[in-house]
Amino acid sequence: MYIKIDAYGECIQKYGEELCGDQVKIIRNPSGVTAILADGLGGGTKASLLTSFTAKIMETMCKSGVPIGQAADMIVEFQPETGEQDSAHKVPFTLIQIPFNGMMHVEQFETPDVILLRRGKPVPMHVSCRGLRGKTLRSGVMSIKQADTVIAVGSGMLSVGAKRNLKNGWRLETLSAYMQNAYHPRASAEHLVRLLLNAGNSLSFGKPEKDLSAMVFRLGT
Amino acid sequence: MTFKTLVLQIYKPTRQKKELMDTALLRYSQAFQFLMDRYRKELEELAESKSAITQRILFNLIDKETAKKLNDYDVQPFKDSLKIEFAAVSASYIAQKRKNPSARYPLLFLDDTRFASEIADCIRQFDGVRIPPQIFAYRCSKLISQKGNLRSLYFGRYAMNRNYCLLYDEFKDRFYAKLYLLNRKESIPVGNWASGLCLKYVWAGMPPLIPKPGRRSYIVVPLAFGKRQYADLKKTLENPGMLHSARLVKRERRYYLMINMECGQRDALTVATTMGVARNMPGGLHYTVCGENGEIQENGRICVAPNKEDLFHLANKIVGFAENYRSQVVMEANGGRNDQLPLLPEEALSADQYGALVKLLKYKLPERGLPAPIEVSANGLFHTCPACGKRTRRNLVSSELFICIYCGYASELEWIGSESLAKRLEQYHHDKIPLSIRKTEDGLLCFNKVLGFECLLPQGGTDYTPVYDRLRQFLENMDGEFIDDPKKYAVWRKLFYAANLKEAVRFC
Repeated sequence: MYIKIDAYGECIQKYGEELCGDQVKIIRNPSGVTAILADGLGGGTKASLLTSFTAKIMETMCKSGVPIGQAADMIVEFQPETGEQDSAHKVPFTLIQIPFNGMMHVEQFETPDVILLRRGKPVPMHVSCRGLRGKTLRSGVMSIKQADTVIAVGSGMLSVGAKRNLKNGWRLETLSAYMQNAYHPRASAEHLVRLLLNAGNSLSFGKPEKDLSAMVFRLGT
Repeated sequence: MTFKTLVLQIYKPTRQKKELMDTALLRYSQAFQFLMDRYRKELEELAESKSAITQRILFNLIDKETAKKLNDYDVQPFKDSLKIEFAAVSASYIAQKRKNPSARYPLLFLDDTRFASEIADCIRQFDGVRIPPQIFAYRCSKLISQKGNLRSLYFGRYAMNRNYCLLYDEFKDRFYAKLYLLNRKESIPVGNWASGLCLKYVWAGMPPLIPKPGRRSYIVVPLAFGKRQYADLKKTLENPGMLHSARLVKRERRYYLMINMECGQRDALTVATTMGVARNMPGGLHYTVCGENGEIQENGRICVAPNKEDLFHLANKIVGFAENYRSQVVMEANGGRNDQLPLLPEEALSADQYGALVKLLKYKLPERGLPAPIEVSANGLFHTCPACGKRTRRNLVSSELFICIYCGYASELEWIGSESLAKRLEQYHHDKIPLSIRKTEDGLLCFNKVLGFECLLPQGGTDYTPVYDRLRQFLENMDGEFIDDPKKYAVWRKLFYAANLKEAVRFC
């Protein structure tokens, strides 16, 4: 099986900041597409430097053919342990690798769960957790099909509805519901990412208090 | 011109005056019902004819013989009023009948004999299983509540020597009403009824009331009023032309004079913002004020339990906000039906109440120098994106959250209605006029149904310049054709005054 992959990712910085603390990188190679979403906590220059550095390391490793599980382990090993230092030194991330053969591999560290939509309907992903120097990494392997959509967002995207008067709040489930509504067989990954970021920006009255980032894979479109 | 109704209670009328007013009300009701009965057949024929109905046609129905018969009811002072009211009620019945063929013929006064016959008719229909028990019960209860109810007496004009007028005693600072209720035959002696008063007509030049010796066919009654009504009455002293028709009403043994009065308009304010006012899910209203560029300046809730008095309260609040922001108020048309407001609880404003509120604002806003509210289509209001104007149910992410699936605009669902309304005028301003294209045997036909414009392009042509030229010519030649068609006028105006015609139309 050979699947066409459309991938897109984008970030918008916190209101009033010039640099974006989140980083999204998409690496295409002959075997497939790998995407990195590095989530800079707190925003600002420090977060931006850290995420750029992390993304660059991952990009280099992935390009040189290192499995993403191993790359994720390496990055997590250098992260400060919980409560050890201030959280600004931490770089949560999501790594998604989709080879053209159709097996998706996801590695996540302290970022919101990845959403998988199959023909516009959500499909639960089987995630296994493993501990590494007191930190938890979540990883999952899943076969994907034509017309699947994979969505990953930074933690900033889940805090955008804080100032809104919503009983149930703005959660990952709501975000997933929105993506289900916005799903269209011909919708591109870029369109979905822009919608998500626009929605996040709009929910925070055009002044996001955290960096917003999103990345989407559209398969077989 | 906007009007308001000034309700003034007739203050402690004597027994004799009460009797005179009761008699006048009864005779007026009887005469009116007589007229309606007399012309039932003609009115039903007119309703079926589908021809245009004018006031003149309805006036001409009343022939000399019938007019003479009205004298049997001693309603000579109210003949003109009866004619006017007859025309109004008939026109309304014909319009209703044309819309809904099962509309019932108006029953204006139910005396004992008619009550008995109507009840008997109801029972007969029920016995013959022609009406179900619920309708039978409804009709009977309606008849019982209508029995003996007197119709209000209409005074068609404000005049010194007929119908009615107001009087003012400047020493006592009190207002009185002079009501012509009697015919010459029943006129009463003048006597010395006004000996302790110094009455002047509320009329240009304030002439004094000097009772002529002999008999009189009017009564003079003192009026009771509150502070606001007093202020309104004081205005009429300066400008008596504000006073128009009136009604004499009896409610719970009290008599009221309801005067139609022109609203004193303030200098028109320059409108700087638009304010959308929509129904709210938990009850009350939501308003959003948008600036010229569509940016939201203010939004909020106006929460009150919906009842008739609260509608005035709601209207006053809206007027207050609109005045503060110098806003053009935009509201949902047709009472907000079809706005697809989800989860409508009992406390929410009903479509009828919302419609009544719009009616109130139609005179309350001009009173403060603001334009009357604009009503725009409410179809799918709560599913429509205020930013891009796209409408789909999929914009509702949850019962409380709206996110547009076309542009990503997000907001709480309860704000969406008022935001959409506030931005609707701006949207209309930017909307392009559609020119439809249809392929025909001779070529491409470009047309607009509203304007009635058509232009044929040759087969395979890709240059649309001739369409613009023809359209410009068409617009210049159609001066005045649209005078009775507001939609056509709006389209014409938009295109005629467009700086660039190419940018004002879109092909579809």
